[in-house]
Amino acid sequence: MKRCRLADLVNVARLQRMVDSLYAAGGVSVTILDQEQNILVASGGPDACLRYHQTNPDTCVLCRRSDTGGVPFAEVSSFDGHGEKWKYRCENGLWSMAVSLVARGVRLGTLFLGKFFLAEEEPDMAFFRRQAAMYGFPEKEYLEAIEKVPRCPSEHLDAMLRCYADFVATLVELSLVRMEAAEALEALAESEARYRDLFDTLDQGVVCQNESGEVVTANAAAQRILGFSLAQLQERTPLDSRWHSVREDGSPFPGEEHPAMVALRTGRAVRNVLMGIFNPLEKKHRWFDVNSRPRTRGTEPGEKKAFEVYTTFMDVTERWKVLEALKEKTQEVEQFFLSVLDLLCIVDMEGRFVRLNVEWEYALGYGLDELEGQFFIGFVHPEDVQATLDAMDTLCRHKEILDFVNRYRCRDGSYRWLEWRAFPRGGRIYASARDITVHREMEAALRGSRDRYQFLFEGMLDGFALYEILLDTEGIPRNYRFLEVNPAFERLTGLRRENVLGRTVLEVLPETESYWIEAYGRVALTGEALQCKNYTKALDRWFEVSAFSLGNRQFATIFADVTERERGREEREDLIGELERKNGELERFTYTVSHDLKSPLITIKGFLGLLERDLAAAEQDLIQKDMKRIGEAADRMASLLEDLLELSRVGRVVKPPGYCSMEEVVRRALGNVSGRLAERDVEIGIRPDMGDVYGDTSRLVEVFQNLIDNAVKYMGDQEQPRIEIGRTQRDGETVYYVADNGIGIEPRYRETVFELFNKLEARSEGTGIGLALVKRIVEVHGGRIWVESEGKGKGSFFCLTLPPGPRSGGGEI
Amino acid sequence: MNGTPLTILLVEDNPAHAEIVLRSFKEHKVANRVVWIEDGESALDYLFREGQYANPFDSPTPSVILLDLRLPRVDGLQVLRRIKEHPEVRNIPVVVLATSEAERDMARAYEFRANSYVVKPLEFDDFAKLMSDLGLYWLSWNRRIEAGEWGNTLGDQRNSVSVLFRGAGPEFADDGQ
Repeated sequence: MKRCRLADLVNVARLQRMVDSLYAAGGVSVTILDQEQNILVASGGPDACLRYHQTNPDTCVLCRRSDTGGVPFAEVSSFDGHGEKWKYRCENGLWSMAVSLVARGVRLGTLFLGKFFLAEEEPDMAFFRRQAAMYGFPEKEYLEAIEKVPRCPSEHLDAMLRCYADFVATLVELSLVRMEAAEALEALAESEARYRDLFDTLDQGVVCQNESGEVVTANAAAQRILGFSLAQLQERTPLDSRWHSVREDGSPFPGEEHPAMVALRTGRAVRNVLMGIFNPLEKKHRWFDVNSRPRTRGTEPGEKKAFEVYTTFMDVTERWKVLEALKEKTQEVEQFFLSVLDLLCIVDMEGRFVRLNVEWEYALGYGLDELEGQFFIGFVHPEDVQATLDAMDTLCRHKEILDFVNRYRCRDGSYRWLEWRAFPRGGRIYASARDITVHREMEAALRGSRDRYQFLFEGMLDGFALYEILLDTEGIPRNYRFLEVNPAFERLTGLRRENVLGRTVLEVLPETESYWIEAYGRVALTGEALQCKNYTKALDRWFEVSAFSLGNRQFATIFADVTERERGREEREDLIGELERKNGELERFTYTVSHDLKSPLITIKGFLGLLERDLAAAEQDLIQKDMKRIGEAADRMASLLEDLLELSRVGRVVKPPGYCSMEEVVRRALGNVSGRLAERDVEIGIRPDMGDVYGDTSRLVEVFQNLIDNAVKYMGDQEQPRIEIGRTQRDGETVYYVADNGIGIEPRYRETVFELFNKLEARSEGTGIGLALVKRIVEVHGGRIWVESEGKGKGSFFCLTLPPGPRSGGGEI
Repeated sequence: MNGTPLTILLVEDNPAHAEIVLRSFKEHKVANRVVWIEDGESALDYLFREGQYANPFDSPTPSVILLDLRLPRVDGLQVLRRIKEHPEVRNIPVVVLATSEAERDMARAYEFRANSYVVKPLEFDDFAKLMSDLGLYWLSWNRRIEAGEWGNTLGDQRNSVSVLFRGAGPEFADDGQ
């Protein structure tokens, strides 16, 4: 009710007639003003007012002033059901009452009742006479008019006023109700039109169905989307099989399960059901997001019964396709996430695992449920925590992390090395890690072994050298190059590392024999290892060398200086040889002695037996012969013993050796056998320039004496016996010789002639010790003796060597 | 005895020992022909009929050989080996007559198929007994192939000489001749 004017609310003419009628019936006059103080309705009024007070300008002013609230002494009070109520006497001496008209809290105007006199008081006639005089009214007529002013009892005044006010208020109320109803109707029509528009212009399909599921109405979109007119739709219920509804997975969508039917059945809304519906115009399924909301009746919540259902649906075919594609993509990514061998994870910014792939289970032994939601830092090795937090910091600053390595604790408490790549994106950290534990361990092992080998390389006593074999165009090894040598190599060879590295062996050691290059070439090319001992003349040292291939045409040698060992071995071998020789000699000596000394004993004993018999038979001749045999045997035994003594003396009794002239030695020897030489008339030839020898002079004299004696003894039938003594050079050695032109010696006896008591001729004189003695003396001096002869009758050529100076080792037995 | 004169070949370099052997045979009347040769080389010449022994009548094949080991030039073991290597003479029994009991000699002698190895006793009685037993055993008791590969070359038709010294030294020139 805005700006509603009283005049619009009541029929003014009819109201006027009604108050006129009431006035005429002897009532009190009524006047109604609107808010703007315009008189809407006014019924007559006393002549005093109409003919005198209101016609005179002066008194009219007083009327106006009194009626518009200017009466200071008015009684004002509230009036139940209406506005304020006034009761006042106007300045012209007459009474009035007024009430403000209020509807819905709005003041619409004022209703006046009067003028009148109060029935219980006498009018002040004196006053009116003065009035008449003052304003020029004819007194008589005026006073008569005063007399005619109605007189109202005070007690009736409120009822009258209420009657009039209520009447007007009722009229106003009626008008207001009528007006409001019209307004409401207008608004409703407008709203309905708006909703109809919305319904028809909506993109979503809307279908309303009654409780049987029959279509009541459907909007244009629904008709378009479904491909049916409203009339066609109304033929079908959701149970109709012609819908060909399918579920997301392609299975049929039963009519009873249609959201509308479910909503009707349960009385509850069904939301977001994906449904495929066959569109007969397009001849294919379209996908819909379907929502059904029932309208229910009934007061109790449990007893609400659906009587109608609104179903809205939206074509999501395109969106569904996109979703399908997205799902497929997601599955692909998921598959990838699952099947990749690296450890993948997504971590939130607080450092909690959000997702991990299954590789984590294999790598660390935890179940994924044990990791998801956990702070990853709790699994990091304590020593790596700080570095890991730093890396996390970098990620939080939206920078990626590459090749970060830390250790993660496994379920069994061991740690694995992980190498990380991680980047932050949209409040998450995407990270992939690779288990590099094996690499780390291998690396560590390699480093360890490298250190150990370095230590070994530097510290080993054996020389080590690494080479590269150099081949010619035909692949034949021609040279090799030094790649690396160790300190022991430098020490053992005297070659400096800086002088050999990068150079070839033929540059460093030009005299290297080609067979070494061949041998090392074989090692490098075939992989066959080589072990040998090598004497290096330049260094006068023995090396034991192992060579082995390192592949790629490289080979290495490890060598040790075995000179001392070799020398020791040589010495030992010499000693063993000498011992063996002496042992053999001793054995032969023992054998010879046991045989040769026993032999005369047999003779002696044998002939003693014979002598006994011959004495018994008194055979004088035989007795003589027996005794002679016994004597000879005894003599032989004596000389054998003497010779043995002599022989042993040669080894034991040694005079201090010294240098002496060989010519002198020979001359003394010849002197000792001069008788025999003269007897046989032997011609002696002595070669000049025989130089000096080193040894025991008298023993050397004995040697030559025996050799000359031997030569004479075996001169045979030679008519011009001749002995030549001299010195010659053979194979860089000085050889002294005693040559004769006697019977000579067959090759097979060349060794046996020097044996003890071994005579070529059983009957030749002597025990057969001569040459054995000679051999012994020569050997004791460190020399050798042998005999050469072209055979029987061709003469003999006895040769001997003597060391030029003092021997290092002892030659004594 | 079966009446066939048998030859014993004695190879011995020591004349005194040879004399002891001969006189032992004499004492025990081992009435056979003994050929004494002083060195190994000559012994082989004799057996293979070479040089001065080329005539089979002068050098009859022996029935037994008494072989000293210590001989000049070619020693006894070499002689033994040569005999046993040679098909024509290897069936002749060889008795090694050694001076010492050296094991090495004995082992080698048997290795070279010596038929017997005896050591010369010191006492003459023992010596004589040994020679007698040897003669008795090898010439009487021991059975051997009479006429085989060597039967036709036997020069034992001649039985006039009981003891023959051949190549002997001057001391024995008069003995038995």
